[in-house]
Amino acid sequence: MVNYFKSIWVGLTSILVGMAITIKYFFSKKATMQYPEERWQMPERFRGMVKCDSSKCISCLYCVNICPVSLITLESVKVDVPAKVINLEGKEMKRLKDVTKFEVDISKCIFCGLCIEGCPTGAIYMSHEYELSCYSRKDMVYQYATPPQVPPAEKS
Amino acid sequence: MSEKLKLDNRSTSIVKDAASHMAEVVVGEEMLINMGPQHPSTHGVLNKVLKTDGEIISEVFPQIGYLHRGLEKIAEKLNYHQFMPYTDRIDYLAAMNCNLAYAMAIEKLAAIEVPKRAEYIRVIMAELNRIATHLVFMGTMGLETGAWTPIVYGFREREEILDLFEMTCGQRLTYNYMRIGGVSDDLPNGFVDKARKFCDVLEKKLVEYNNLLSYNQIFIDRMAKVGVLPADLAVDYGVTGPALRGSGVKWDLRKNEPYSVYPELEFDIPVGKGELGKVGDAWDRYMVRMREIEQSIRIVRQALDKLPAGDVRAKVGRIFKPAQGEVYVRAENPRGELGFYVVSDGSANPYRLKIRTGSFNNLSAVPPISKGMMISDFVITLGSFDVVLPEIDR
Repeated sequence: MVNYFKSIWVGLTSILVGMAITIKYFFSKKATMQYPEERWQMPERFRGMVKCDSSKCISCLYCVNICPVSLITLESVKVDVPAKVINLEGKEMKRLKDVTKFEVDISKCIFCGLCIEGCPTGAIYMSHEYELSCYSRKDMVYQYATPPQVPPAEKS
Repeated sequence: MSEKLKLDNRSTSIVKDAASHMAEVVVGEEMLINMGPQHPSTHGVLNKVLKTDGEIISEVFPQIGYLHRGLEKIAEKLNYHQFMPYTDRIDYLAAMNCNLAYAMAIEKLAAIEVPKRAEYIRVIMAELNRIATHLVFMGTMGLETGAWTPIVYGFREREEILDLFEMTCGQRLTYNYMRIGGVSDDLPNGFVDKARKFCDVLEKKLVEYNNLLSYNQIFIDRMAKVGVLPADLAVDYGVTGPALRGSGVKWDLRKNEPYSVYPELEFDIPVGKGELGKVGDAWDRYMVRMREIEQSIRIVRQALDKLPAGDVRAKVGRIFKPAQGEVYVRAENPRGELGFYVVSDGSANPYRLKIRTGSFNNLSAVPPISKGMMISDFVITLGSFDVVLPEIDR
């Protein structure tokens, strides 16, 4: 009988100890954030959507080969007059190929960041965009290069 | 049955039959119940088929395979660097620890030396991740016992750790931070101060958690003496990690088979003592994890103090070919030992990669100890083992 009341007493006090903690937070500043109105400041290294500046790309195919899920399709053509690109170490490099297709299928992306690590010119990079939902799978495929300009067929 | 009795009331033999039938009804028919695949006591999808007699469980058959992705086969098709992001997905709550174990395995296979600074950074990250997953465990353990608030508190502090990870490697869940031969980037500016401040805050919050949940009388009544796992049974089933230490066995790879820079750091191994029930009950397994958080804070503080200057990444070729051979490396993960057995045939891809995970063995010890248990106690028992399903299925 004594034990019965004792356990009720112990239970009640431990509830009160717990309630004291929750009530303390009831009156303190809220820890949550109202998301669409307020937004996080993304850290500098944040790995968001994969993007490419195709004018810097020298089509070395590093990103295509390292990608574990092979989401990048890269096509290029040789150019007669090589352009010049400055690489990450500050040296000038010849850009012998012109990128005609640089497709990124973001629906496959696992955001591992292996592709951006080895890029010699910093052409491929990860932006701070993180709201990537789309209405169709076609919209998830992003094109970053200008397709080759086909001369208009002559009228006969 | 009562109709049967009315029909043949005078026939004694039939009355006797009915009596024996009645006895059967009282004992009850055994019934198969599906618990899961979605159930809050598992982090993931696990189907448990319970053979029950009323509320009492007579047998448990865990059905796994809902999350099978064939990681071991994928590893054979990718080169050593490319498999690193996949190790994040072995145990998504402790991705840093999985990264560390894989990196150590390949470094041993290819005899690569890691810079000292990288080793310290790795240990800091692994211990912070250990804290994060134990906080999730505390929250979900509360949920299973019917306490709804602790998970909010646990996630609030976990959020701080994820912020630290995000500023270091850019991701919050699948980090892919470690590389073969080091880590991908050096610590960002302000990381050390922020991590120290976090350690101070968490230490105060731990007292709060203990008052709120660990020493709550209702919680103790629910957890103590439930799901007792004796030490010999735990060893027989190959149970590792906090589940084994909860049974009173002092076995921790960080001490018994030291790797990385753990020998240079001071910490204790908390062991279940059966303070409030029997040794190896659910409360012991829970409390071992809570005490491990304290020890992890100690390790992080020491590592931050001792952090040497220097490189964070050894030079490793983009595609490198380790010599022929095989290696087995294991590391102490928050859920038990994670082992990588890698066979190299001298090419750029592993010939075979086998993953040994803690959760798989820990789950195998649940059916034998849950015989004769109530269904609601089974939820507690399974929850206290803290299994993560992608680790079981791989």
